[in-house]
Amino acid sequence: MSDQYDCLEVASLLPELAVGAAAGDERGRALAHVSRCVHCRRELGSFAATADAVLLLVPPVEPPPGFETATLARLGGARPTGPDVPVPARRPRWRARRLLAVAVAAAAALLIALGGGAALTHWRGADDRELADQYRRTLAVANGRYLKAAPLTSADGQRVGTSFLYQGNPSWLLVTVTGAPDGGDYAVLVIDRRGGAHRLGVGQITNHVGTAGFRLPVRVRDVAQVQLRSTDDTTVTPAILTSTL
Amino acid sequence: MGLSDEALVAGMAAGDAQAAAGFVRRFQARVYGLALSIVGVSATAEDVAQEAFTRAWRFADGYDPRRAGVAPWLLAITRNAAIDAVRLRRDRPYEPGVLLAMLTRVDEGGSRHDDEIAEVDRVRTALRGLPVEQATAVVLAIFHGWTAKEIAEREGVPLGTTKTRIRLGMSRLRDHFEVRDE
Repeated sequence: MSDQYDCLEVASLLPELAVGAAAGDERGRALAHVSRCVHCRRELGSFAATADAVLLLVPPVEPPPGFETATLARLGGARPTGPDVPVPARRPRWRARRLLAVAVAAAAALLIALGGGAALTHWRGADDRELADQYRRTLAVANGRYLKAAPLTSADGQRVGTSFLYQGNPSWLLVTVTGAPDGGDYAVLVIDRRGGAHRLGVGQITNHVGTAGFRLPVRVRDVAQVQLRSTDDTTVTPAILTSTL
Repeated sequence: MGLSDEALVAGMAAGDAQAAAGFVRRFQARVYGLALSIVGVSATAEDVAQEAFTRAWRFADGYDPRRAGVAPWLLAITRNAAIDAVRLRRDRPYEPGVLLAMLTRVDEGGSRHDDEIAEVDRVRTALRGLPVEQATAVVLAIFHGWTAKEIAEREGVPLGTTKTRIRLGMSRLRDHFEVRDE
C-alpha cells in the first residue's frame, strides 16, 4: 500500500512533488518511495532547489512604515526552539473523542506502557529493559517505529497539555489538552521544518480539557511544531497553543 | 557588509535579538515583496511577512546551509505562509500572466548579493525561454499552491497535459539552473 512505485514512475512525479502540485494518494506513494530511495531523494532535492530559485525572481518591495518594529515586537512574543517550561497542569478530566479511534486506542496503550511517554532513547536497568521491550512490542502491533512527545504550551509559556506523535503506518498525532485557557473548537495544524503548515482538522475543548487524534501527513521527524489555533484564522495570528519539537 | 546571512540565522537560533533585528532588516523587502506577489493585498502581505519571520525565528535552529541558502529558505517559508493565507481568505491572487510579467522583468537588484543577482538572471532567462503554457503551470503551482488537478481545471485542459507541462517546465528550468547539491 505504501510503496508501489518504482524509480521510473516516481521520476515523472518529482517535478510535481517539488512544486507542491502532486496530490492525494499519488503524492503519498511517491513520497514513500522517495523516503527509501537515495537517487530519487537527490533528484527531488534538485527540483525543489529549482522551485525555490524561482521565488528569488520576485522583486523586493519595501514594506509599509512600522513593519520592522511590528515584526520585532511579534518576535519578542515568539519563543525560539528551546527547552520547554514545565508547569503543573490542571487535574485532567478525560472526555474521549472518537476522531481516530484506533490510533487513540493504540496511543493510550503505548502511553500506559511508557508511564506517560517522554524521551525514549536510553534504557537503563532491568525495569527499563522491560519497559523498552514492552515499548518495542507495542510499536510492532501497529507497525510503529517511534513515538515522540512534547509539552503543549499557551502563549505565555504555561503548560496546558501534551502532543504525542507516532511514526508508523499510519503515522498520527494525538493532542491532549488539560488546562486550555478557553474552550471551543480549535484548528489543529502541524508546521513542517520548511515552514509549511498542514491543517489536520478541528478538535474540541470543553471545560479546559480535550483530546483529539489525527493522521499525520508528514513524517514525525519533519514536524517542527504542533499548533492549535482559532478556527477563524489559522495563519496570520499567533497560535493559541503550541508544541515545539 | 556585517554578518553573513548564515551568521544571522545562527544568532537567531541562539535567541539573539540583535541578530533577529538584523535579519528582519536585511530581508524584509524580499519577504514582503514575495508575500505581496502571492496574496496581492498589502495588509494581508504585511501579516504574512510577519508570520514568515516568526516561523524563521522559531525554526532557525533547523536551518541547514548545505540544503539551501538563507534567502531561498526564508522565501520558501514565506511562500508557504502566503499560500496558507490565500486558501484561508479566498483572496484572488494575481493572474498568472501578471505574475509572469513581474517575474521576467529585470529589476535593479535591490538588496540582493552579487552572486544572487547572477543566479536570478539565470533563472529569469530560463523562465522566459519556456513556452507560456509550461511557465503558467509552473508559476500557478509555485506561487498559488495549486495542484495539477486545480491547474488543469483552470486552464481547461486534461490533467495529463498539465502534468506534462509541469514536468517539462521544471526540467528545463533545472537544466538552466545550476542546482546546489548536497
